[in-house]
Amino acid sequence: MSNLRNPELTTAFYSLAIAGLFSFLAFYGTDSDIYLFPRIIALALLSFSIVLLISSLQASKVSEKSTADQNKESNFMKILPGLAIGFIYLTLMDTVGFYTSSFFVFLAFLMLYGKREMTDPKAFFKKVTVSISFVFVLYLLFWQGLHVRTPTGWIF
Amino acid sequence: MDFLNYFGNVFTPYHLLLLFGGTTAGLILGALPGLSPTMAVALIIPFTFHMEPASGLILLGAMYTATVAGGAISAILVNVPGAPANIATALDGHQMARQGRASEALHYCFLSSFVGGISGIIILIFFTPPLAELALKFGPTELFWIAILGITVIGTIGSKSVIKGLMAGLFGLAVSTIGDNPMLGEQRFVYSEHMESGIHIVVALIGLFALPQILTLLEESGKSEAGMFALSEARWVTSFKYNVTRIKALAMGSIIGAIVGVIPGAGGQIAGLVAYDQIKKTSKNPEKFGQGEPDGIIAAESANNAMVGPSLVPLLTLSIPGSPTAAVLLGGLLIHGLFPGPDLFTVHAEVIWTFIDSLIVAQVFMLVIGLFLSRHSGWIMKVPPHYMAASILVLAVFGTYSIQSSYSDVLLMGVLGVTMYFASKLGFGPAPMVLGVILGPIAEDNFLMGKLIGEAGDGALNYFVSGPINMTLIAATLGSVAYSVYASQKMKKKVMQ
Repeated sequence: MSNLRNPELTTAFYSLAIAGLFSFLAFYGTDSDIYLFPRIIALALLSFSIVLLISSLQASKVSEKSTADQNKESNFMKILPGLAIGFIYLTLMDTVGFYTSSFFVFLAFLMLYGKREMTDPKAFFKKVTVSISFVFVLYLLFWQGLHVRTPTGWIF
Repeated sequence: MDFLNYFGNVFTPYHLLLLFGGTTAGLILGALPGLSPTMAVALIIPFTFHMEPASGLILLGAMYTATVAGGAISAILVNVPGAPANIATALDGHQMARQGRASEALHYCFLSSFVGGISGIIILIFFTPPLAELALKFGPTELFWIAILGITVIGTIGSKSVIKGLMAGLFGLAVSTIGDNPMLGEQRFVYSEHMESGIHIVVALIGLFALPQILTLLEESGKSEAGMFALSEARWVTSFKYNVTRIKALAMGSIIGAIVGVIPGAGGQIAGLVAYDQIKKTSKNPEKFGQGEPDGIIAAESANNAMVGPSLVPLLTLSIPGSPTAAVLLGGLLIHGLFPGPDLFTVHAEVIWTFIDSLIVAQVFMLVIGLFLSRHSGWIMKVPPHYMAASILVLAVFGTYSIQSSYSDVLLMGVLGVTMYFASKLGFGPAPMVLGVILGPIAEDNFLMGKLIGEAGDGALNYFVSGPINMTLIAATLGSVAYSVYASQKMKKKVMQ
């Protein structure tokens, strides 16, 4: 997202694409009675997307990229490891078990985003202890206290 | 005086424990820079699912009250408001901290929050039942327009861009149509087995509020920590004595907060800033503001807490939230089968009055725990963002799963959350979208019912736009859009100049 010249125009195009997709899904090969409400929403979304596109086209003539937009840009490379861990967590949670996978995901976050070197044994020990304690408190609170049964999977 | 009849229900050991836990957690979560109060309340909703409705609402109410006040801690100590509601508090609060008066500033903050909070709850107690009776006159068309008004108001007044706010509301409505058609029972937009049951309110709440916050925290991790000023040894009794003499600041803050709270979608940020502006304008020493003037903190904090009670007035009567956090609270009401309107004060009177009464006790807890934290809250500022991110992720996954023991819900929450994160980078806010998901089924149900009734009479269109209540609601919807467009144009002109 950071290399796009006009964020407002990009937003308008994304919005139009999503509104177009939703309209296609709501209108194409569907029953008008069942899809009546979604169709109204789709039309409203399309109209607003077009208004957004027109207003951003007009605005792009007047001004260049604002500092506010620059500030909101995503630091994608920084969140990428977090997204990957989250994806693996959600995918494997059901198979491995909630508490085991939660321990590993917690530890992975601390290792990857912590300030100290990953090879520092003292820091590693601290992070493992915090992760175990956190998951243990969760277990006591939810499994024993609230009696909520989370996926146990292969391990637990 | 119905509220007195149920006051005793609050004082059971279990409810007092919930109030204590909710207030403490709310103050700490509110104080953590980068965590929004709305996210904190959204994250706690699944845990209330397994409780009695009154107990669940007590916990949510305590969290709501405390997160608003807790945000002042980081505003004062590190000049990073814990919530938008505390922006005005930082202006003088942080200056006091720089002068070595951090504890004193926090004392003013919690004492004024208490006064403002109690004033707001009094408004809630006396204004809600008569307004709820008005809802007795509502049929399907009125309920449809109410849902549209709620989404429009949050989408326009509560958002930076009117068009994006409205579109976010529409995206929320679109998401709410996944699953069964409410009248015919036929499935729509179901392209995977995970989507068969549609999107549960709590899945949307957690996905849209918590996951983007996790990714934002990860973005912030590794950045240099903001400089924190040490907590001083001020005595709260001395601060109390000074605070009670600042009647003008307390009264102005409480009145402005209560008025802003009742306005749907306005929220604590506006309350705090307006109160700060007014007390500064009417002060004999306006030049002292921004230099560590206690009146600035007192007015801002009494205002943003006075907003809490009144923000529930339109919510409990008409299902229109007064703030984004109140929108999340609406989800909390609905998962317990409590629909805003007159039934709340008749059929569910015990639950709702116990909840409202508990808000008063929550204010007392907030004051006591807040004063304690005034000397011992430095550690909260030192929690690293990646620790918070990891904890929120695990809690979000657990909370989502626990609602229906459904793995599909967890996956849907993940998809919604990541989408919302990127949407927020494009300027779309989560609050209108969440409200769209929550109010979508209500809007569609009543739209289809109104259409059927209308077609049997003078026509559907005529039925939807006739009657004084319908016309008032349509005018209010259009009015909120028109006002927001006017306000944003005015702001643009100012910026251009």
